[in-house]
Amino acid sequence: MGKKYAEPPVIEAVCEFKLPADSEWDLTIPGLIYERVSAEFPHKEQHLVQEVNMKQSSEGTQHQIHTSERAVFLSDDRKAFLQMGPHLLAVNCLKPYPSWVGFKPRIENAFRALTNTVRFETLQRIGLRYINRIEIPSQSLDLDEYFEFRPFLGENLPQDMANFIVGCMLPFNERRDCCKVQLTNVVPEEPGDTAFLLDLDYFLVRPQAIPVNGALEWVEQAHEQVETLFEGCISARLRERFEEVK
Amino acid sequence: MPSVVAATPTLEVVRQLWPWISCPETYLESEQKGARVLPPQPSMMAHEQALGNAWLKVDLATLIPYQRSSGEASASVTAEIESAINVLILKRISIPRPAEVRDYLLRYPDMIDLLPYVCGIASERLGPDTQLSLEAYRGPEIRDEYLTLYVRQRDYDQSILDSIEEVSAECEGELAGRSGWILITTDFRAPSKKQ
Repeated sequence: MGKKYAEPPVIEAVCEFKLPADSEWDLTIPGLIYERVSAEFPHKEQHLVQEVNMKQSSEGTQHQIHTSERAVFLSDDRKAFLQMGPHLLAVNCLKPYPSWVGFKPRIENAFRALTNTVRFETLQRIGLRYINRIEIPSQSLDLDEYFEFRPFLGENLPQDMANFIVGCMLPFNERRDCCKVQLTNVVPEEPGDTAFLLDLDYFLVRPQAIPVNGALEWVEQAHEQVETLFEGCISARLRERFEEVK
Repeated sequence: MPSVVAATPTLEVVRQLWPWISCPETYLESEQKGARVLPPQPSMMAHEQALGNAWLKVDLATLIPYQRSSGEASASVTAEIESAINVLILKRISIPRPAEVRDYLLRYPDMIDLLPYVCGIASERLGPDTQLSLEAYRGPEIRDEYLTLYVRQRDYDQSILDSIEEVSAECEGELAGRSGWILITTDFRAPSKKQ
């Protein structure tokens, strides 16, 4: 069981299921799923989404950008929503994060609605992502005091940083899964503050390695790993700021 | 002795992490061991063939999985908002109350990708002496809310309104069909000192 905070920095949690491209899918599926989830997500919207695909070719890396439409089903307070695109279901939860106890049932219900509507054997990708925005009331601070995951500049380098982004891909479960951990500075809400985005994106690297009936167990394990990684990224000083509930 | 992790992934790391982008022999080995891996992507196979399977010569920088992974991240709205705001800051757009802009974009997420485009056109057309300030307006009416891009100059000339009109007309087509709106206008104030 991970630590609980009175002021958690989570601004968004996402759990995403991608079905294999050759699995059954048609335009009626979002509507059928809506029927199953409308009690929890009664509001329907349609959003245009730009997707960037990177493609490797003999000429190098190509970026392909295309616009697609996603059906979005929102809760009454618009703090939780489902996104549905071709072969995609994502469950999003915005601040205030209702804790894993609150988020997990939403994932389970949405995934059950999907499996009761569409027939598929395995998943192309599963992802569990937590975006944390951490705001510290100071314009100049020592990252070492707040983060155990941070950029390192050797002694022969200038120590002042205007902006930074640092990221790692950490493998898990014999490289079946991976977690992309990224820390970057962002625009603070209050002038005079310094803000950071700590992004933990745990995902299934090996496509179709998880059968449908193992997906929710995978999500549970992914959550444990993300929780451990989050604690590993922050220092005691940040824990104090988040106000641990004991 | 702590292990040293190279900043650029070694060939071995690439091979282990991403079996389908390594050489065909590795792929076959993985298959024989019963590991389920994604079949080689056609583009990658073409890449290898074009190089005569001399895959050791492949520029690893183009194969860094970290970069490739950014196109496959889980569908987060807040991460997209932060990326868009970072782009605006790079374009020297002033955002005096970022919390309000973030809040607006959460409610109108199909405006996120459009924002850097509109601000980019405004910045380019109106020139470096113009300060652009992005603010969110929320009126008392239900759903009476939109973004406003204020155009501010030290000395206003007669053509400012025409220039704003031209920029607005250029962006109008892209705004059609979106759930939100961005108004480009001026309040004839002097640019604020702090960007």
